[in-house]
Amino acid sequence: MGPTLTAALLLWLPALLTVFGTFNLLGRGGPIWKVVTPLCGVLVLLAPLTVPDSNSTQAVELLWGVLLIGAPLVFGLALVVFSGDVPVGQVPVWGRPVGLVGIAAACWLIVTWTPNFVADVTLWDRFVLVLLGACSSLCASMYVLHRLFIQRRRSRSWPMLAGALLAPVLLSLRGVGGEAGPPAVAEIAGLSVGAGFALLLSVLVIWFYERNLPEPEALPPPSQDDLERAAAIVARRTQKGGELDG
Amino acid sequence: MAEVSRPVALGALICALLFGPAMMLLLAEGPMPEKEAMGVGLANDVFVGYVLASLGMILLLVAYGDNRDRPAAPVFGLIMLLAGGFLVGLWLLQSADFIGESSSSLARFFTEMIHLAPVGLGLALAAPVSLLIAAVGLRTFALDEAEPPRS
Repeated sequence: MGPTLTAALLLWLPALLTVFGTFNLLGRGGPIWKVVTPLCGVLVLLAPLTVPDSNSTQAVELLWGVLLIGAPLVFGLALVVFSGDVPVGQVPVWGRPVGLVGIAAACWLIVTWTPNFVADVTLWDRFVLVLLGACSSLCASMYVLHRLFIQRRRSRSWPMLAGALLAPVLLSLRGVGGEAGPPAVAEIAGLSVGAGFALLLSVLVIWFYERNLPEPEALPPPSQDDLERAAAIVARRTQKGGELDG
Repeated sequence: MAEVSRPVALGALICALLFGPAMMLLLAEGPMPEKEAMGVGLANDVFVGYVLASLGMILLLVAYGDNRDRPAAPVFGLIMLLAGGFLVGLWLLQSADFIGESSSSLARFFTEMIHLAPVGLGLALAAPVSLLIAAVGLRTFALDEAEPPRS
């Protein structure tokens, strides 16, 4: 089996099935996807062992690095969020300090660490650059949305502002090479334009399809029984505030 | 909207969106890459972005087809768009000599896909991280209905 075919079977096909399986799991896919999706995910993650000679493996090596940085960052933030005043899923008191330690560890890794298992170092530098740049943009956008577009806010916007300012600080601490900065911005722009064009065309196709569908058959009017049942539900909700509906 | 007019708020939102890329450009030190190489990269990035997003939409539509009795027409339409876009893109890249040093435009496509992995993974991680940072402000502090708006 040639190296290209091996890479196709052991990396690209499982990667495609992982994406498709994830969509199926989010929707109403069959139980088979509960087995196939994680299996394919493991196959993708094992690509540095199964197809070590393929160029495509560089992306998986990068993925391992992303998981090592992303896990403490995401879990740390989630612990901080869920140790607050949340109605469901509240974590115990230790959640906040542990979360803060996780976030601090991730920030330290972002500034100082370059994984030695990623063969092409420029890939890692570009990843960190895009991660911090995108975080900065998204946090700044959410700050503006929160401050200027929400009228009666009872929540705080300073964490968003802190996120928008901390990302460039981490970026300057790590250092950005001139060879990496402008190409990364061009890549984000190129990818956004291409993906936006594809989404626009896809929306047009679906819109044309939906527009040509026949009108649904008219439903019969509600019977007296239906009306009485609806009135009873409305009355119950008005009196009890919907507490019994759950 | 609170106290500011809509155009000002929209302008602020656009500035906020451009804040990250502006910081990336401002903080970059050292020699800049050649403009021609960046143009070639940009054209290939648009092509790869189009193909990957089209493929994602097809997979999404097939996966969610159960909810709509598995319609074949839009899936067929999207596959035609993907195939047409792929062929036209390859032809354009080849005729405009945008495939760089690669042996073929198809080889360039796969090289560019690996090249774009940091961008994809960076954006994929930035989205949940930013949402969680926003959630820190929304949910970490006690919500009191009687309390006035605060910042």
